[in-house]
Amino acid sequence: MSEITLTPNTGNNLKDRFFQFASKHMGFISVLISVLAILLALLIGAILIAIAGINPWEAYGYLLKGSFGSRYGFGETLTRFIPLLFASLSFAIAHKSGFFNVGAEGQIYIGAIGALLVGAYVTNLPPILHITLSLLAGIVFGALWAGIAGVLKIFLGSNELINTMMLNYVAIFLVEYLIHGPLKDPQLFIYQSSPILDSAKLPIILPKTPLHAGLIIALVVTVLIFYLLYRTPIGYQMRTVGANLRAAKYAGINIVGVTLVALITTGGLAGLGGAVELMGAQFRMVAGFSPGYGYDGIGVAVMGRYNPVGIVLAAILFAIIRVGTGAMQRGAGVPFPLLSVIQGLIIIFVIASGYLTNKLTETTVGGRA
Amino acid sequence: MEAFLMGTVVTWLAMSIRMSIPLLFTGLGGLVSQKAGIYNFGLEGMMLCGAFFAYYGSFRLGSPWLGLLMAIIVGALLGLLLGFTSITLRVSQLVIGLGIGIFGLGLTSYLYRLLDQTGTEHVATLFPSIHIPFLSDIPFVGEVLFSHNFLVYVCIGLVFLISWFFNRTTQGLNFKAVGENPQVADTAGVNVIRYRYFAIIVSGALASLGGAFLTLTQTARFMENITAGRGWIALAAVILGKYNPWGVLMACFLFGAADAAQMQIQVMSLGIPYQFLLMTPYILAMLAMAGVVGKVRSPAAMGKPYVKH
Repeated sequence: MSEITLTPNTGNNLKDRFFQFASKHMGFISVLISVLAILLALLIGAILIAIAGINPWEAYGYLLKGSFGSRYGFGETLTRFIPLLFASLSFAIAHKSGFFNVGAEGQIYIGAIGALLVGAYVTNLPPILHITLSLLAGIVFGALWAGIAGVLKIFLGSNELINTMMLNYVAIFLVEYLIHGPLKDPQLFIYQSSPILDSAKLPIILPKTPLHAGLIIALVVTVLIFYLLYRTPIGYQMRTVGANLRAAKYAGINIVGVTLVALITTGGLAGLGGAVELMGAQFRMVAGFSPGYGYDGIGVAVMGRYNPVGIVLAAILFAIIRVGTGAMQRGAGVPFPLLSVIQGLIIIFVIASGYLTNKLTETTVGGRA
Repeated sequence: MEAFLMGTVVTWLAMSIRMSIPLLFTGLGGLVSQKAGIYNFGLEGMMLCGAFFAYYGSFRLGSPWLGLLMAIIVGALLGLLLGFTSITLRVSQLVIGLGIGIFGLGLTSYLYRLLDQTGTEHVATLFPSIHIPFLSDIPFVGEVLFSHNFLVYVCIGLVFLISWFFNRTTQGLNFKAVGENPQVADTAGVNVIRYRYFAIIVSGALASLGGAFLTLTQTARFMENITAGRGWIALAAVILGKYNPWGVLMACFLFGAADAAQMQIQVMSLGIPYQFLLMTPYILAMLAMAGVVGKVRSPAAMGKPYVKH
């Protein structure tokens, strides 16, 4: 028996050596996998571009030039990075706490409405106060919107994934109603809300680009969120609930309380993302205010493997692809939805590669049971 | 006035059936995979791909049958993808499903814009309504129940078939074991992996048929994101229908009827902002799920990859 059993740690054939090497360098392997996932997704993207009769090299040239080939492009990429970061933090913190919030898209819209109400209709405030209150309104509105799915989950056990998704559709129709009716700018013929006042606008931090102070808010919030998650008792409880609900119950953790905190945080983060986007970039509520940032956030969180450095890097990458795809459309005529193709594929590849990482973990702990 | 009212009711009921069939195909797809213990959160993406490829196949190859075939193949392939990742690679079924949703939306919109750029309008050949002698001529009943295209009857037939399969055949009962307790099923000699693959491939094909129904019997054209969350509503219908094919049928009819009603109310222009009407199917899905939870138990091994020991 023992002479035919190859224990993974003996390292006497190529496969075992590979696993041994890989399990010692997990960080490196994760990065490598992510890079491969991106390359594979871009390769399939290239095939689709070729189907359109466009030269993929030329198209991808526009992607690079558009996203950081110029000062403006660079600023635009970092501007798109901001809502992506908020959306991915929102998805990540919910995931870590054991539930799926795929409703960031709707929470972004509703959060932005909160910021709009304060930013456009509350007058005579000094900028610091006006900005703070508008941001807070965004957080509260986003949290309340997520809270609908939260209440259904906590008190009735209703599936939060379907509910948060349903709420996205409801939110978008609700916002459409608002900009057609009560919040429509009376001075315009098109359906847009009134703009927020100057005192509620976030300042530009890189002149001659659209990059605004939301970047600083986003980065500070990222640090705070991961501090909350890894350095505070409530964060520990959230992660315990997320990792093992039964163990959490055994340990006497107040599941309802912890889930509530997680919900407020996940909805608040997406709502804040909407508020920041409104106050720094768009200033009015329009149809299509968020072109899918909430869904992009899922991909960012998955690719960033739910850790702060990973998420920031993945959000930058997704921002580059987003701005770059816009440039490909303008420059080479590549239809914009290629963006979702590439992002969807990245999610699938990165998640599928989890097989390998699981295998490696098994190897480190001494082989499979 | 009475005749008008009668006419409205007939139109509404017939329309309710037509609106519920795409949900029912997709919902049955969700049911089959969940019976085997796999979440199919890719329903929306699969449905969308079905809608596009059925449309594309129909106008490019000139026959709705070939469009239908194309949709089934694409759906089965997406099911296979979800199956491979969740059964063999054993990674998160939920996130892969979301990935398929984003990919499906991107791919169909991308290809559709390429077609659109050519400037000519492409219209798919539709499946016509079938006139059934005598039955279709019965007043009221004939118009409500027997004025449809063949896919409607196929879909209802599938409900019979799936119900019979799960309750009356050995394989169907094995399926339940695979979803409830795969270890026991395995010990009893049931090939868990093969059953799950079969379920998820069928699931993908059914979801795709749901999408195909939209473009091959109703619109004849594709629109970006034409499914607009119907895949998720179908998933809600599986829960509301308590994992029972007839229950799913009733749930889908409820959602279809609500959708038909809101469309008719829009046409009547009663002064209700149309956005509120458009919201109703989604809100109804949430309310309906909230009403039954606690009373519904999903298959015990749901979402858990099976590792043979």
